[in-house]
Amino acid sequence: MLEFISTHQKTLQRLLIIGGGILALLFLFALPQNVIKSSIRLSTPFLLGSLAALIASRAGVLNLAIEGKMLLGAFIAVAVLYKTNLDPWVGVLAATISGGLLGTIFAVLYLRIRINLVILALALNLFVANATVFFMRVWYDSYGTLADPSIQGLPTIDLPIIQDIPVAGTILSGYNAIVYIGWLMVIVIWLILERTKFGRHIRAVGENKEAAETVGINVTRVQIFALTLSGMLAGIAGAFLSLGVLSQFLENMSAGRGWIALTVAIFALNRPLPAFFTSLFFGAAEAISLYIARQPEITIPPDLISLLPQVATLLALIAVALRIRGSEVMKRRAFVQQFSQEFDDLKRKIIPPPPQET
Amino acid sequence: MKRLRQIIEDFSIPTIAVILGLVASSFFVVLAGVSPTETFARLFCEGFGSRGCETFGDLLFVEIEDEDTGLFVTHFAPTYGDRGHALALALEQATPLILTALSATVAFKVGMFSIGMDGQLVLGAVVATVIGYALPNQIYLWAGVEDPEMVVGLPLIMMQIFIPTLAISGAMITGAFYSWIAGFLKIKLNVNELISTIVLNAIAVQFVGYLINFPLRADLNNVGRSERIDDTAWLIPFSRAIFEDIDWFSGSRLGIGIVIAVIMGIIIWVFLWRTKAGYEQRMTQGARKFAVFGGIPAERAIIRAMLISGALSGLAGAVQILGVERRIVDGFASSGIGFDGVLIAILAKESILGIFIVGTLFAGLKIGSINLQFGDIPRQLGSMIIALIILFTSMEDFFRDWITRIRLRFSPIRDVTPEKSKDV
Repeated sequence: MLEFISTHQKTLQRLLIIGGGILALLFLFALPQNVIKSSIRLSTPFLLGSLAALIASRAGVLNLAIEGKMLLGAFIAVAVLYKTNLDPWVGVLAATISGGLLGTIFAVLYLRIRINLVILALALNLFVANATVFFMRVWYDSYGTLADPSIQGLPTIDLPIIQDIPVAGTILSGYNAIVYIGWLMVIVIWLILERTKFGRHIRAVGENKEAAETVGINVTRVQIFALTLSGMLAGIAGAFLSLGVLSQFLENMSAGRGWIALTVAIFALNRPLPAFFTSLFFGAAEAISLYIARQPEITIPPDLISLLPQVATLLALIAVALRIRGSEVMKRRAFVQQFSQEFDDLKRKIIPPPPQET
Repeated sequence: MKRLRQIIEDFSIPTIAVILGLVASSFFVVLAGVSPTETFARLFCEGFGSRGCETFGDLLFVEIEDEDTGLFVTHFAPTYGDRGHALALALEQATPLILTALSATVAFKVGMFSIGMDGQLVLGAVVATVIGYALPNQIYLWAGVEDPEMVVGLPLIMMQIFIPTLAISGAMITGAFYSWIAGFLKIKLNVNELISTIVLNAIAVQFVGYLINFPLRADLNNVGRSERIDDTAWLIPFSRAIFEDIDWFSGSRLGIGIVIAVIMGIIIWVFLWRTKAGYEQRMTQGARKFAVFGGIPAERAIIRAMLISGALSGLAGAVQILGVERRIVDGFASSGIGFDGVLIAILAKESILGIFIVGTLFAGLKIGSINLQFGDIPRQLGSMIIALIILFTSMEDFFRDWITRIRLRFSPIRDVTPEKSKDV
């Protein structure tokens, strides 16, 4: 199997891309436009969450607390706007800051006090999930949902030039600002990672901590910054959940999206642009399951339909693992090839060729 | 002397963690505008106290006015069981938690951070429910019995032994299979077990939700629920059989389940610490590559551990259904018993005795905080306390450094540097 993959790597890659393209086109034509729009909208928390996950992973920390950070962002965004008549942007800003703050706390607890990463993340998620409900009841005296007419959702923005393009215009414009922020962030994170000194340091730390330390990079500081940035992105994702759709906060609003975002980041091998497409896929899975549930002529029980994104996640996990395993094999093979080449060269240099007999 | 110090240290750190957790959460209680001491006293009384428990002192000795004479009599609270004891309720709730915590421990002890207990538990519970009501009905059908009450004597005893055993084994096999998936993905494809088990949990919970609401739905009750299990499949609680005269058990559904949990605890302890397989497992946890180098079949150890862990979770589901719930109701799937088990395993630091202590504490806190809700405090306080206690417990290295530093300050030897805590 692996033999086959490695010999036909290029062809297979092309096939995959062509297949994906055909699938995407089929989606575009087969599904009504509002499903496509809603899948783009629903992919936003996955996109921002996966960017948060990948920047932490690139710095060598598996950030399992994204779920909690998202939930905190969603809560803070609504809590700040509750009966204050503030602009929704203040809520987004507050969510970002609170996510970043939680990210810093996470980093300090992990790096300075040395709590086990997984336990720390589980405890933080548990704490946030319960603390948000606790304060919702204690401070706002509301059960289940935190909503108020004074809370304004983010306004829809039509992109000036793009909206006039015939088909793509309607699909690409007419979302609220966080969707665009998500797209922008893909570029920004890519630029940070690939084009700045800070990004180089992050990658160095993630590749090999000890090596980075010997070169003089302050590993702890880089990781704290990366986790803070990651928390801020997760906070924006949370603000989208609460302000972008319904402008209210629900108990356990993130509902496992943080974990799916982690899968997205792993699937995209921790690179921003693939993360964008992968999150689109997950958004589409969610949008389609919602769409099917709304069709009266299809009588599949809703519980089974909401299984769809979860099964997609599991399959994606397996696909990721296959992909990583494949790329490992490929790397090893390339290494062996290169090394044997060099070894042969070396042998030729050191051991003189046998003298020719005359 | 050294051993004594070791014991003191082992106990002091969890104690410090619990106290710090309570202190830190009292901050949130103050924010809610209630007095922390009163709240905590109520929390513990509702969770662990007997009748008439109002302050922390009542947890040990409680004064009760005698109804006939009007005099106050002091009772030793833990054994004073008039009108039931909260501890029995806590133990009832703790039974599945202890089993899932054992399950988590077995998985952790092979280096697999599996948190898939919830999925395995609900699938086990569904299987146990179905066997619990379908099989007896089938047997009555075959035997031509029209009224189940008519079955008496040897056939009844046979059924009472046979059906729960079958239901429990079915649940265990289901749980083991579901857990095997994560183990298989880990060893063959190196899929992160934490993420794969979370996804598997979500799938199982949704799927069971579907089963309860559609194929297994018994009646048109508002909340979807399955048929009730047959009486022969019921693991009868102590308050109904065996100890029905003892007041301590009244009001709780504590039953055979806790006995099963204790037996399982002993078996798991023996397995982990006294058998070759357990040794292989612990070696694999410590250093997998080293274990493989030493000739230990690490992959087999992982699969074995995951199978055992899944079976224990399935057992937890079966015990909860057969002993307590007697039917599976919508919402059971997402009650999070499995995840609580993981938290207990973390808190108990993988010690079996610790699981029993922490499990009871955990269940008591949950009951107590649910009852607090009738006051001004949301029940989420219980989970917040637990999260904080987990945080403080896992600061162990930090505390150890701290204790060492204090000890050195008072010890005559000045030139010893504090032991460095090990890197995580």
